[in-house]
Amino acid sequence: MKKMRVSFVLLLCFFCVLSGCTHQSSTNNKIKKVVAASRSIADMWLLAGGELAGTTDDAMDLEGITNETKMIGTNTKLNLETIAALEPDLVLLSGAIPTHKTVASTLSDMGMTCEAINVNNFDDYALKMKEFTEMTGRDDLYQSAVTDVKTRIDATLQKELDTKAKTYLTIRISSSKTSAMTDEFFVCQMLNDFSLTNASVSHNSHASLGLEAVLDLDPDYIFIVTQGDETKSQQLYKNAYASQKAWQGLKAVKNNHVQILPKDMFEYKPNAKWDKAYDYLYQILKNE
Amino acid sequence: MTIYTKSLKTNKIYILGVVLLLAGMALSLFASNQSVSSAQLVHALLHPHASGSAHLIFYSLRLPRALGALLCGSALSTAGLLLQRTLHNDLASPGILGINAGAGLFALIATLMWPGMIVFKGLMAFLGAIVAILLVLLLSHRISASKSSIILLGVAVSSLMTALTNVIITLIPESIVDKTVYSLGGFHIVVGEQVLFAAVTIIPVFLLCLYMSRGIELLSLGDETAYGLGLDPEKMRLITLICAALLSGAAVSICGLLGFVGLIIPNAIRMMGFKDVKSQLLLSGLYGSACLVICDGLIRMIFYPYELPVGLLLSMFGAPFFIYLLYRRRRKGGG
Amino acid sequence: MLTLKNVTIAYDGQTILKDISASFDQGSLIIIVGRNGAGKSTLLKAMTGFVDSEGEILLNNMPIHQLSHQERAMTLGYLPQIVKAPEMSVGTLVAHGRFSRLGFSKKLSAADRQKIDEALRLTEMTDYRQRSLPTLSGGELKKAYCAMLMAQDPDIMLLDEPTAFLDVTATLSLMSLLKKLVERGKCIIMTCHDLPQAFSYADRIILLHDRTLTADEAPDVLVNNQKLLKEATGVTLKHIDDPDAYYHYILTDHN
Repeated sequence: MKKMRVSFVLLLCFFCVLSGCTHQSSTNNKIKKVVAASRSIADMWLLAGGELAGTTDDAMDLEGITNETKMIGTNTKLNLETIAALEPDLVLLSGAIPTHKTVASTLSDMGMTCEAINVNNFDDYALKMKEFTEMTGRDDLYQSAVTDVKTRIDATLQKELDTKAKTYLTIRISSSKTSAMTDEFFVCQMLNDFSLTNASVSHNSHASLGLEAVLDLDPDYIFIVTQGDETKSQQLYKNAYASQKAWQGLKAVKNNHVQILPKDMFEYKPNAKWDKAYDYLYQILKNE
Repeated sequence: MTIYTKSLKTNKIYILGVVLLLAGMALSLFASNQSVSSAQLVHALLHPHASGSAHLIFYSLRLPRALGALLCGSALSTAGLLLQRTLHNDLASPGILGINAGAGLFALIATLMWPGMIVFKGLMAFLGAIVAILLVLLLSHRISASKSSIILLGVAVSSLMTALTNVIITLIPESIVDKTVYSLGGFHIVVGEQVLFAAVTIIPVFLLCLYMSRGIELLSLGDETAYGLGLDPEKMRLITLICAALLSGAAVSICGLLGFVGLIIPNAIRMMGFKDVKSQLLLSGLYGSACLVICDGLIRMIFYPYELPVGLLLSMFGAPFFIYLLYRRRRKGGG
Repeated sequence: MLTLKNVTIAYDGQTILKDISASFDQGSLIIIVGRNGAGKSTLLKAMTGFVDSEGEILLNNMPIHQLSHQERAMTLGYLPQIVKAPEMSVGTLVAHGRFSRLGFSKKLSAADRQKIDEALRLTEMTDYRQRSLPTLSGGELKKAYCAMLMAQDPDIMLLDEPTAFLDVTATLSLMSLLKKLVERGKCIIMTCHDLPQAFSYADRIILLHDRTLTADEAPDVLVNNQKLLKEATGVTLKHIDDPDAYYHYILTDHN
């Protein structure tokens, strides 16, 4: 008798779990209106075959944005009213933008579903894309946007490359400041995949980086990533570093190992172009 | 003699203030944009138990924001008035004396130590505001500072607090939600809880100041005369300054470093010919609220869907007004 | 009644006045004289309790610091030498005289209004009621503050150089007003630089010299101690008998 009761309870639990699962997938199916609060996230959602009800101003030129897509302000200052008016099923926020934390709590209080997206490398990207394509029901797109890309990246990383014990420095230049990036930055993670070492592990990524500090580190490679207005950033790069005499004495400069990385792959996350980005870096490193 | 009698001679100015405030509230609460129409918002007000996006927008976004602007406006301009009266200097304001910066610094420390705890943030903002004003007072006492030296000391304390804030922001960028909103001041995200916390501070402190208005007015006769009339001037000044600090602290914890309201409004009220503290308090509160509510409503409308900090608009009007004040003082030969 | 017992006043470690004892009763006009820096104003401020001092200051036999500020101000009024002119009407200023009785919240009663009106009338400031303080001349401002003190209506009034900025007629009318108040039973203690004026009006002269209270006597007695006067003030005085004269003393240089 007791056994029967136990098994009954177990059975009940099983059904509960099962129904929970089906319930979960049914909510996923209902997700129609999605708001993406940064360019990179909008790009990923579109790649997964989704449609966007609203996104930030910098993402309005992406392929897949329709006339229906509402602009919801800038990625740091989202217009909450516009978002609320869209009555979205899901709001995709960035885990890297500090304002989004407060936005998330406000929107959750209003009964909206929010998700903070953190993508620092290809694996993060793959994981999120899995989730997204499941929501959109487009497994075919996962194949092309992730699996195929992954194969090509692996192929690139398999290739012979003599970069052991080489150091590099990634400098991000915006129109207002220059900073050395730590391993959290996706470009650094990519370079680490090629077995290079970031010279600036201990450096604060948000304080401006002086020329003296660069001289002190004297890395084998220097990668420049520009942010925002390209001409202004390039001008800043020239003023802060390239025009200085001391700059010419750097190992990397002498060996012609200073590279300005293209914006389309290295300013925002490359998403569908992760393989191309890896290949781009490989080409640079290969020319030893 | 309104400070001893009930007559409010210049009713018109009060009525105008109320009308402006109501217009501002209407603008802030019901202005339509591409997301939501005025009719929907009015419907949300009239049917509090309905649902839908207009309902959400009204109760979760617009109402806290409008009330936040209302409270902060009255708090900041009243704080400015109290400082101007007690320090005998028209140029005193929570922004210039470093009170806002102090509150900001401590609020920032609070968000680092107890993230998400709105009450702690508010309490720390009070503490910072009080620390800043006490620092200014203590230093000015030590060097027996003149009227203008107190302002200079305030500027020094303000820079110190701002510098410390910037050090924290630079070292721990995650600590700050948004630097431009913070340093210019704005109501981008106001949570109902914040408004409640500010209200339970600002309203009682404001009422206390109204009650004390005779004492505050006596301070302007100088300590010796005030003492002779039966007031403890040192105590009165301290209480008044702490009230000013509490008011600014409560405001800063909602809207960041909003400059100039505390300077412009009380001076404008004085220029309109209101000399007694009670009318000045009431009108500063009223016009301070109206000013912020209108400015916040406007900046949302003009730049929709972009969110610009309201401090931007205020500084744009405030800075020229400040220059005009200085110019006028110079012409009058006052110092 | 105001009593000082062995009062010593020091500021920044420097003794300004030491061991002052005196008593002041109703119905008398006491004028404190002495050279610049003798400590006249400081003594007045100490009497109100505004400046800290050692020794005892008793107001109606109560130590002054045991009274609340409002209680003290109901009996003891004080008018400083330099007064401020904030933006405020004369009427409001005089109404502030009633603060010790009204506190923060009470409204003006009919009796309060009567006191205010009387104070304005006595000081001939009724026509200035609506005028703003910054628009007044130095003398008018001083009179406005006198009116405030009259409205405060304490038994003991301390006035620091009340006649300093006044012209001759205003000085004379203020002094005769003070005399009138004394006749009504007030105790008035004031400082004055003008020795003939002080000697002509005072019931008692207090002479401060060399950080002490050198003399506390009626003017017609003190005038005979010419050696002391010469030493303490640099001049001597002489009584004159002229029924038309306002002042009954003139400055002399007795060698």
